[in-house]
Amino acid sequence: MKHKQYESWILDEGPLTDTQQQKLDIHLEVCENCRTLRRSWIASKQLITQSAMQVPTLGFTDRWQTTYIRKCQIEKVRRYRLTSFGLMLLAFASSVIYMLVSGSFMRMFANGLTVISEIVMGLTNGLSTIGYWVSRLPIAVPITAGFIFFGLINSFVMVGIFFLWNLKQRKLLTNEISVD
Amino acid sequence: MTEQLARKAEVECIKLARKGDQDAFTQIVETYQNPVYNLCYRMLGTPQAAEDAAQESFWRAYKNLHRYDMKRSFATWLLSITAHYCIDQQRRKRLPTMDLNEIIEFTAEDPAPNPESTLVNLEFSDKVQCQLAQLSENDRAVLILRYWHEYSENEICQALSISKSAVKSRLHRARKHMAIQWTETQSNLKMEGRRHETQTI
Repeated sequence: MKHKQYESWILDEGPLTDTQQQKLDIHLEVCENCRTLRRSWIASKQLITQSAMQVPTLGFTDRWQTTYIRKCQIEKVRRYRLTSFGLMLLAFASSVIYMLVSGSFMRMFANGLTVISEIVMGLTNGLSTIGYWVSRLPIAVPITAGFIFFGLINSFVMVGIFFLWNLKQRKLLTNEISVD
Repeated sequence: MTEQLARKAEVECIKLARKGDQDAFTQIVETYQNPVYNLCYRMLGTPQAAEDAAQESFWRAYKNLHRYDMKRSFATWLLSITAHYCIDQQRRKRLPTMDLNEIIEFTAEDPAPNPESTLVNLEFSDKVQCQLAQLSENDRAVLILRYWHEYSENEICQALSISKSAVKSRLHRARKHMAIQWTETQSNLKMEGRRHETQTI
């Protein structure tokens, strides 16, 4: 007989016939492995039966009521979100279907293109008008002098910014020194 | 007779809870808190995880109460929900395995008045928990339902929605694993003892 059969008789806890029990007893006398398995399983089972049923700490029912209220609130929020999302999706889908069925979708697309091109045209016209009026202004100073003047103003502004930045840095340094 | 009365009261409670009576369901929670918590604790291994899982199981049961078939046992149905939830939790986050020789101190409250018996119970509980931690979640669930909840093979089939042959093979595997674990622990303890003896000499 196969060795696995004895293992099954030891572990499966099924009722054994007298013949099976005899065979098992004879086998156990000669097989160290099966003897150990049987001994270990009996000990393990004893350990299981002796270990107490675990119980929750006091106030489990009170905690359940808190959980119930919290879960209900979460469920409510989830349902509200789901409903809102569903309604939005429904509105969007129905509008798309309506536009496709009625043929107004293509018209809307054409209208959109017209509006965009009108905006671009308007911008171009505006810019050319500004250019026209600027070119019509009288020249008060020669162009070279204007460039020099512009350069000087820029230099003063740059120096001013650098001066302020430097002053700020110095203030910081002074603060640091006073702290030390 | 008493069982029949209890069953009748339970059915009444379930009917009321189905209609939205929260107090009726709280009564069910009161009745089944211990088996549900025990299953969660044996499956997950820590009091906090067990508490959370037990609460979640009751919430799932409450939500799916309309699906419960009155002809079946409510306890089996409830523990089925709990076992499935715990198995899912285990799959998501594998239980860290513990060494049997390093038994962690456990601080759960136990209403037993005798401190000695409490200590003994805790020691047994910890040892078993360490052995259970080595099992796969499916084998563990079958073993817990068989030995702590004293379920028959048929009841385990119903609770875990698996065939009878699957229950048998899982039980066989789990028992063998527990026995092997026990043998290994014993041999480790013997080796430790010999090492201490040598050091003393």
